[in-house]
Amino acid sequence: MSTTLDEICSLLDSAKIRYGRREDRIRTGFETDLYEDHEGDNCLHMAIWPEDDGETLRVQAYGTYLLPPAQFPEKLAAVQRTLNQINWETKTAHFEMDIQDGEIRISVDIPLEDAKLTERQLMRAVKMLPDLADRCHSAMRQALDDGIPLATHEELCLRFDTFMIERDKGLGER
Amino acid sequence: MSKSSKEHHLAEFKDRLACAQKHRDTNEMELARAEYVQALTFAEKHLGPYSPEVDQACYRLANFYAALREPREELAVLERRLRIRQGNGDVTEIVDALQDIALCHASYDRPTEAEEVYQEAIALCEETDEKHQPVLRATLLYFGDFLNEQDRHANAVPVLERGLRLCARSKSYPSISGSRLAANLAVALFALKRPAEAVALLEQALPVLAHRSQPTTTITRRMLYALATEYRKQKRYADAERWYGEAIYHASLSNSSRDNAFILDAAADNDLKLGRAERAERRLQKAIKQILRIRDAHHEDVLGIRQSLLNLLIPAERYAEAETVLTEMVQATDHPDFSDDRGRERFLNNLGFVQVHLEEFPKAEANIRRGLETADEENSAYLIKNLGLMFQKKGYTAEAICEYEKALTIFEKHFEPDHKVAVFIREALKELKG
Repeated sequence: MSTTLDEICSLLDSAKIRYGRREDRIRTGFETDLYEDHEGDNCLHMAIWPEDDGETLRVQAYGTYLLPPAQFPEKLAAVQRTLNQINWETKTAHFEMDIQDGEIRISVDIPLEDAKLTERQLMRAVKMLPDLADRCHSAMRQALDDGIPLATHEELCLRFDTFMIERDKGLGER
Repeated sequence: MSKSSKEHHLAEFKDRLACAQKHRDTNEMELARAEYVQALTFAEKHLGPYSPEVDQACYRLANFYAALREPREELAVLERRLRIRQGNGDVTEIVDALQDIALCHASYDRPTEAEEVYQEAIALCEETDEKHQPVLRATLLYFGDFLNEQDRHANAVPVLERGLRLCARSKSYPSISGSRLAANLAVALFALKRPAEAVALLEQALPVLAHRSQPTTTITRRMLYALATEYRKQKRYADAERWYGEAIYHASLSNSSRDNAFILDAAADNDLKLGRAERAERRLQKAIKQILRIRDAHHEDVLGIRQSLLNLLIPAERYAEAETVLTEMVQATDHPDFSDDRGRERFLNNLGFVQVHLEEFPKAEANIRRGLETADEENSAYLIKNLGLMFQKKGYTAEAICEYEKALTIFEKHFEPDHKVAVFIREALKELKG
């Protein structure tokens, strides 16, 4: 079974998704609520193509962010920790970073093996990326702009607990 | 009853509840009602009138009646559930049942009864008893929220503070309960004009509540918006943007079009402060789409957000786009339910103004004169001034001077002498006469 570029195009047509086809890839873009591309537009740019002789479908939001090389190590650490934390909390899709040029992108791979790609599968993969980009945009910007890594929920709870216990002591002393 | 027979009865009871739920999910409400009532009768007969299954059936029926807004029936099953739990004597279970009764009273606008039940629930709990603490914290949270809903913010503060004190004295701090109590306390503090205390609490509580692992709730969404707005007031626009971003994300998850539209509107205003006019415009266009899902075009919420868009388009001299927005606003005011004459006059005046700039003079004059049909003297000043502007642009000097002078007389009578429109008219008159 597996899939081909033509088959993916016909599924996108059926789902009324606008796209362009260039060489061996399909390119499309999705509107986002929060994520902004490098030009400040609310748009996530994506490429879709089959790999491994069509046995895997790859959907990739290329150039989602860029961390230019030769950054302070603290900032690089903050970004990598944030990416790691997001990936830890996320199913299926994941962020990846090319440490050569600093490109950060979001990808999802759907293993098809001998199954036929369905419109539902394709749409789920395609729509997952803008959702993830929106969900993580604030955290990614904090890491990229200010070098502040994404905290875990446990860390946030601990900060809150400490603050509230101190506050309670303060109220008690009044 | 033999073990196998009880298992058989339990299985049948579960089947009946599942069947009722299935009918509910497919909106077959009368079939669902029949199944729920049968499940209750079945549990009474085969599992005992004070069994946990009767308790469960009462709770499910209460939810069902709540969905259909049947207050008498809802209260009856909730009170029956309370009696079952009172029979068992477990305080935490009794308090839990009382909470549901209080919520029921509150939802049917019976605040006195709701408050009595909350007080009864709180009185039953022993603060020092560790087993009682979680349910007491929850009751204080709901009671505080109820008092906030009743605009009794000063009463809400000590209730929520008591909840927070209880959290601080727990063996291990209950972060989620504590952050919910803190967010509700912030609601009261904002209302009591104590924003600094509210902000200090929200800065710590919101990261916990708004974390991706937590479900989105109304209080989280609204407090994200409130914190961002407070930063905007303090001119901390970059911080405001971060929290508006979180609020937008949570609103998009919640499907609450009204919240979403208001957050986008406020975030757009913040964008303008950050010099991000393009993003502001995108957000306002989205806000309009959101609010039109739930409001008619003549509703003040829609007109308010469209006005925000105009406040962006007109100073940027994008008159053709402003004309489209204003035409829609004026058309919306033709709706029979729209009764704000001053609002309509303002939109007609603005439409006339942009049409003057687009040199669509006949349309501009028609709109300005339409506004003048209902305007009182004070409001007519703006319309007459734009009539003057139109004649000036057309090159009809005498007519322009005449209208400007009429407008200036009204401005001088009703407004400060240095009102910016009066200053503009004086300058225009000087130019025309000179």
